[in-house]
Amino acid sequence: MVFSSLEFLFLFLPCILLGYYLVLFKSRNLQNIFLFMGSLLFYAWGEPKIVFLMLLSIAANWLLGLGAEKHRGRRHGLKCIYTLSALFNFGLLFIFKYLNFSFDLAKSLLAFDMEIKQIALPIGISFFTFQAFSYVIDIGRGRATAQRNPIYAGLYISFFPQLIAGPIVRYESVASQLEGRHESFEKFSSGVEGFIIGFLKKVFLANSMALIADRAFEENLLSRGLAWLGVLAYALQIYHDFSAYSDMAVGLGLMFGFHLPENFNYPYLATSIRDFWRRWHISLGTWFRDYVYIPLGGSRVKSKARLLFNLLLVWFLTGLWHGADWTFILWGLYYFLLIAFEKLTDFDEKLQKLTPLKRFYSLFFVLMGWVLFRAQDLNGALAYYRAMFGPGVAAFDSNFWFYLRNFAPSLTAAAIFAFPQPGAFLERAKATSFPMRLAYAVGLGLLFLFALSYVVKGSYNPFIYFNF
Amino acid sequence: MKENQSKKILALIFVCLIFTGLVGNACKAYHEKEDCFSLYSSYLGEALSTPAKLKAGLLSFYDYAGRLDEKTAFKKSFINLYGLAKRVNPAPCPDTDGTVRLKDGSLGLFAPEAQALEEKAQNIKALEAELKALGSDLLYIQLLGKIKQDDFLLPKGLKDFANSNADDLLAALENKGVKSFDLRKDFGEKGKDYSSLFYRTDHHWKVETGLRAARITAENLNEDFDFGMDTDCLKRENFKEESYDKIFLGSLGKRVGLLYAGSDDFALLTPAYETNFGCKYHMANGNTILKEGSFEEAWIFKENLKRDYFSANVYATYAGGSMPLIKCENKLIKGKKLLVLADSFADTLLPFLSIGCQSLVIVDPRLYEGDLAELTARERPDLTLIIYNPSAINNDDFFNFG
Repeated sequence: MVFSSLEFLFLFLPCILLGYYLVLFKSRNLQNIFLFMGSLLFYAWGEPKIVFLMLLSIAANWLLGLGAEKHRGRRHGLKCIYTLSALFNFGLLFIFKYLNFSFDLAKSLLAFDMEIKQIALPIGISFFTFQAFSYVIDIGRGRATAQRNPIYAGLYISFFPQLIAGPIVRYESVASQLEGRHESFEKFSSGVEGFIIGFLKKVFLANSMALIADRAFEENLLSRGLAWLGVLAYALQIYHDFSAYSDMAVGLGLMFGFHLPENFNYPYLATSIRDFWRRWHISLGTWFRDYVYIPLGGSRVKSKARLLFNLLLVWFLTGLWHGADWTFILWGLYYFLLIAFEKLTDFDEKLQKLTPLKRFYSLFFVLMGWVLFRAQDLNGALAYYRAMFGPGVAAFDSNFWFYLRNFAPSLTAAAIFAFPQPGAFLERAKATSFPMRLAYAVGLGLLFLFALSYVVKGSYNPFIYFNF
Repeated sequence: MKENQSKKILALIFVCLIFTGLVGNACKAYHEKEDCFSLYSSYLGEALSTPAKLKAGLLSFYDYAGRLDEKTAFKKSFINLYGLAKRVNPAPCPDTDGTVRLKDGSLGLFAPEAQALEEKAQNIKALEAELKALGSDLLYIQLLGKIKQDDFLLPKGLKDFANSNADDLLAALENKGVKSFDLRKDFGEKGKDYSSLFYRTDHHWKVETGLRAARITAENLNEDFDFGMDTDCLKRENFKEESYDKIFLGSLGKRVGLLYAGSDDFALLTPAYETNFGCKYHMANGNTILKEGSFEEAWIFKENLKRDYFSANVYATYAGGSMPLIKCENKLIKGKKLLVLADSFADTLLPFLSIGCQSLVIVDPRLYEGDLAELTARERPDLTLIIYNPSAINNDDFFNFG
């Protein structure tokens, strides 16, 4: 089920709110059980069988969490638990996400002829396995206590707002909230505002950018103009799509009293590639930092070779996390090169004095990365780069003018709302008087109603990060 | 604190909206309880155990909820709201379903490049050979579509392949020696005059255009196949006209709502002279309808002629809309027999053409499941027509003659 669907908005969410606040408000335990059951239903919607995979993951990680607590302080025992947790969680991820890819790779390298069944990717598996792994590690590290109640552990892993596209919530940050959270109308209202803003970004901005990007990346004979317009549209699409989902997830969390971490901080304002990754998919970046990079020694290593190895591994895994495809792996390695370059030369720090150039630098390389990320395959990416930079490509074609003319308002809005100024302006406007606050609320409510009409109409509504 | 006022108002609006959606859909499900129960019964089958009932209940709920996009409460209001949103957008882009607003404000449907045209032409050629063996000639008639080639009404940069697909198909048919006739050449109007041949909210042509197309077709059949039809009786002045203002929201208009598309007038044209038909309509659900009497009694489904924008299909006033098979006898004429494979454009052409024939059998290849050769052998038509509008060429079902 996706947040921008009618079954979510007109059936699932009102029923969950009704049950949570009107029927079960007196018992935290019943509320948590209800949220857990609701989350399983949410996950099972569309493909009920995969809920068993989720239940298996919950059961195994709950037991491993208890084991981690029991062996806390005992190096050997804890190592065993960590190994078991890694084997289980990443084994599951490998089977469902990477087995086919690895098999095809082995087949082409070793030249044998055998077929295996194509395994369907369970939705959100990359998110919930990372979250489950952090549960065991955080308990082992003593940052939180293990859940005695498997339902609570299950709720942490499967909580529907962040279940299928993040943010990846670390157990230590929500452990106390499972029992000790506090709901209020203020929190609920903030959650609604976040949800609606995310919903509007998704429906009005991301979906219209998707139309341009999809056309550009599917076109065989691209003009240079359409190639640049396409990658710009994709950059705006992926940001508004993914950040919209995160906004909705954080908003929904607040509606039930949970504080989930923010996942984006205006990434296209970044002044370096390192800065970009501090602002983009923050929960994934910090996960890799805390559970891979720092345990390997991070930046505090004696040799540059070791530092490069640590960076290489982290960025290889970051690329691989996004999908079992060479384009994603190369995309990860592309960031390894950029970040290693910045780290070794302090290029980004030197650039900070040149205000417009530092943003241009960061944006340019991020855009180049998106080409690799979005292309169907390596040949597609190369053809796209050729259209952007190569000789003998028409500057503009009728498609370019068509998309520019018809999508100019959406492109402008998507570009403006990728930066903090509109939000700050609205906040200032709201602070001036009650009529302004009323106008803001009614305006946002009306826009939500209009956005709902797009959903009812069945407009183009893809969610990029579901694929990961 | 004060800043939170706006959030609280917004939260109240949000809660009202989603719970209105919940209650509205619950009420709608209650009103459609027979559908829900039949769904439940189909899942339950013969089983009577409680787990089976529970499972059937869950599955039918899941099924019903899964179709919420199609049948949500307040759908018409939402579609109108969608149209309003598009109207206030200074650059409303074409919908992904191919609906596009032309420069004159009417709605069009653009078609992609057709695949396997050679194969489609070959299928027609094979059908021609089969029909020849049964004593019937074949003629392919290319109708006109709403979007003309290089139409200035099309938003700049948007490519529509409907007409070039039709040109390519006609060329392929010519190469194979299949007789064809391009009706597009007889409609030379340009710009707004050409647009006025079609409904603004629908991709179909107007009844008036259907009548004009019927007369041109009749003239052609007289000339090339010696049909001997009285084409004067197909002149507009020989028809009575009843006008219905703002009664019709076409299929494209239904996708974007009244506030974006507006609505169309509809003219009901019926012969001003005596006619007598007997028509048997074979519907997709297996039922048949027999309509006998004058043109109006036999060909007109007046129940469709109502101002119910989202539910009624006014275009289906003629010939009842798309049906797998229609057989019609003209009781006043001893003339030729026609078998026609047609798309929905023919709904407002063939009733008029039937005035000059003894018998007319209309087959919609998308819906007809019988054997066409058997039907031809039974009906023994003098001529078989294939009548498609350009956008139908993209639909393979029209070229699968079984």
